[in-house]
Amino acid sequence: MMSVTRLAAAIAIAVATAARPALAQSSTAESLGQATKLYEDLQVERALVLLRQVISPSSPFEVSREQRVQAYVYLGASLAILGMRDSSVAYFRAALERDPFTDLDPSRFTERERAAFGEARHRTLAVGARPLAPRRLDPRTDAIPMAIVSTHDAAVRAEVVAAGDTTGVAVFERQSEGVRELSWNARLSNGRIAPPGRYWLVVRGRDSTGVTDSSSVTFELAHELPPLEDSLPALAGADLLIERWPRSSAARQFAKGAAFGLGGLAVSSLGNSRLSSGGRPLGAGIAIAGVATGIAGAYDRLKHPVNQAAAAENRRRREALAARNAGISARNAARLALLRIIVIPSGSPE
Amino acid sequence: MSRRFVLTAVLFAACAGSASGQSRLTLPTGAVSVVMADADHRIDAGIGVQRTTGLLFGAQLDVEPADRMSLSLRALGGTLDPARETPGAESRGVGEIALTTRIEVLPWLRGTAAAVGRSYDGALARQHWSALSVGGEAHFPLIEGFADASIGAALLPIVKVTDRAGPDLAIAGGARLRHSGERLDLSLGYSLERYDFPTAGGVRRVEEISMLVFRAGLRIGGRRTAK
Repeated sequence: MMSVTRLAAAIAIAVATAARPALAQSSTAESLGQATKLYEDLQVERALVLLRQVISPSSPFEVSREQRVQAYVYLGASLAILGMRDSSVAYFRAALERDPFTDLDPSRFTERERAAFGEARHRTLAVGARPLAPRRLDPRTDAIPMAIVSTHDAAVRAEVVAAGDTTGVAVFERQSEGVRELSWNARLSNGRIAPPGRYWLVVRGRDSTGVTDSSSVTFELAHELPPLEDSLPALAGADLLIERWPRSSAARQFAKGAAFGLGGLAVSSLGNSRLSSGGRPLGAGIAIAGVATGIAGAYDRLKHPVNQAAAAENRRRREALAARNAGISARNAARLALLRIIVIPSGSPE
Repeated sequence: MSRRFVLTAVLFAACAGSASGQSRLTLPTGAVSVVMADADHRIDAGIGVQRTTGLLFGAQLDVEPADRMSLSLRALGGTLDPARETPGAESRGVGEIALTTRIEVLPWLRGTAAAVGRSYDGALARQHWSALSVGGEAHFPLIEGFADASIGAALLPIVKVTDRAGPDLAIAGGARLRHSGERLDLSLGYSLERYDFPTAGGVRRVEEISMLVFRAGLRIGGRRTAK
């Protein structure tokens, strides 16, 4: 009986221990939910207690960036209701510094709260970029939508920077305040379509007092297109004929003529020896003609060392290669027209 | 016999030209040429060598019905007169028609087949020769793009001579230089035919005719490069 009791106790402890992280995760959300409800019921002091617990460094629960920003917003609003304007502004500023896109809904927050929030915006320069949404687009006709923000009037520059690159493509550069919707045509400053890789949308701001801020969001671009053909390499030496006759060519020409002459004499020797009296002058004639042609060929080689036939053949091969590469380029161009760019968001604003 | 042979050769050439013409409805590729030959005819019939020489003139038609095939039809005629060293020889008129087919069997070697009809007209009699030969000729460019050379040999397994038994040895050889340009087609060729007849009455008759032939022609029907 005792052992059963101990076992039950051990199981209960184990279950409680295992459930603690889940409980911790939900506790922040529950606390924020309760605080929001108390705030809406005008029980702002009780709401403040819960909200301070949420942002406390000693809180045992995990607090996400969004939850922390929400807690700061309701803290600022609650303190504004209680007339603690400076503290209210401080919390609103903390919210804006963490998320410059933070704003107060006029239907849910009073004029006094929004006035304190406005002062916080005026006193805090924070710029930011909204994380990009997943998207598939045709780079010839579509653009990638982007949103940036500046909490108050400042000179704002937004640019897309590729990983490993120092120069970016400016997508916005002017005085600005509040949220700006932008678009990027996915092309680099040289007009080419942005290659696949990791990119940052970087926003920098500088207000009239010289205060600066910057922020960035990361995203990746992937290309979706049929595989392209590689163009053929230029003809190497082994692919081309030698266009100049070698030095031995003239001697070989003469040798060929002499060989033909000997052939002619050999033909004349086919005759019956009984009929050879007086020789065979016609056979000698063709032999002389062969040798003379060989001499003419040798002279021609010495005078014209360029092998015109080889040069023409090389020209033909180069033209054929150029034609094939033109065909490859045309087919690749057709395939590139099918290019689609995939936008893959990665990470929170930095 | 000789007439039938010539008729057959002419019909064959006509058919070849017609076949190539039907497929393209254009002139067959080839050349039309005039021919001049220096001929040297020698006979030893047991009473010493009788040698006659002379110039022959004629025409030649070459057609190339296919990339690796050519046909040549040549007609020659003239008079052979006694050479100085054999003044007792008899002057004779000679006429010849020959059809030669060449087929490329290797890039450097052509197979040849020829049919020849020849007639010698002497003061006493007319003698007709007809022969078929088969052989081969090696060819190579002597000057690339300008002149080709060929050397060949042939056997004449069938030789018929009027009123005489055929020779028991009949061979021929030839060497030729040729320039085949865009318009002009020139050649200079040497040929020798040897005929050794069977011994009759204790005498073995031997005979040969050799020619140095210059041909000048105009190309017709375009030009083939694979030749």
